[in-house]
Amino acid sequence: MAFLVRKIVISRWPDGQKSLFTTKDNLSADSITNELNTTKNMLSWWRIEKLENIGDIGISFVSTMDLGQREIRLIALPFEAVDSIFELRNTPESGDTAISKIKQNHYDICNLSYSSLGDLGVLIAQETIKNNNNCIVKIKVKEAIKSIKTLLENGEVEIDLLGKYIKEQLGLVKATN
Amino acid sequence: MSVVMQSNEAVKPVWEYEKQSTAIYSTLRDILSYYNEVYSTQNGNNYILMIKSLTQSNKFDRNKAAKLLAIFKNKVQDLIIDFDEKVDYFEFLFDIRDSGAYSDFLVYAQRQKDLNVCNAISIFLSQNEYKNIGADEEKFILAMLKSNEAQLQEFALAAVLNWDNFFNLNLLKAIDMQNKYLQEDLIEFIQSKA
Repeated sequence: MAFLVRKIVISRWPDGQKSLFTTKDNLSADSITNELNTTKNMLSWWRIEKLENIGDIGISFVSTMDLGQREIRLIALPFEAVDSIFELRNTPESGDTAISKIKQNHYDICNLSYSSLGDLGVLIAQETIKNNNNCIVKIKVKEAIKSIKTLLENGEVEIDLLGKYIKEQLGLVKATN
Repeated sequence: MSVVMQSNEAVKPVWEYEKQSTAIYSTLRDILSYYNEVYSTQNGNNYILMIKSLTQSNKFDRNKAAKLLAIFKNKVQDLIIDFDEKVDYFEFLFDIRDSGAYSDFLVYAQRQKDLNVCNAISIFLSQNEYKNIGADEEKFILAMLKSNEAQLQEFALAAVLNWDNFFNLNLLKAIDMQNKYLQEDLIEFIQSKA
């Protein structure tokens, strides 16, 4: 079963019982304005064929980090569920990652409006609460960096696209701190 | 025999606090609009002089703290801050960090609970090693952790996790995170250090 993956800040989404009652009318504005910020009415996602592969997307996000952080959280929504409601487009050229092989997994949800963004927000809110199929996953940055190092040795990393922090951690530039 | 302690200080009615708070916000609006003007005509020298004038004295100065906060708010107002994004406000915090006004600035920022401002300061602090964190900065992070507001708690927790060698696990144990995932993060961190 395929999933679409995106990074989230967990506290911006309703927690516990609140999520069960989330509708477009009561969805927190922070969820939309901070978590679902669109460009040209599009919202960026990454496709994985099975949930076990979510680490690849975690590595992809970590690869562009400019600042140090211990962990990040990702949410995975069933691809079919999103595809049945929204217009999805495979857009490898827009994927912001230093990991070459991941670029092809990049998708945009297109032609979003206030209303459809609200629908998407509700879908995410409900998933965060139910946490179906363990769809919220924590990625440890240190572990991700180890994987990036291996990918780098295999020539699968575009060094110019690595974030400042990651370059420092990999010894590609001198640490400033 | 039980002793009932009585405070000599008269308890202020709620409306009085509200009035004070409204006054502060109104002052901030004025300051913000003034500094917006400065920004619109700003060149490097003007800006440096302005910051210097605000941070010169080591005396407690509420007005200066409010002005600094207003400038900072303006800087981060429209930012959607994420940990892996580039930031351009670090320089401002470096500029004021060694001044006496910095402590007041942190207190004001924490009282106002502006999410962008608190997030920005937390990110700045999280990028420093814990050994370089001052007592006021630690207080700022602890106040956010104790705030019972999930987002503020998440920003502060990220800083604590980044520091890695945060001093006092007992203080952390007393924190009640509003979000269950964050509570798990905190417990995991405490257990890893125990």
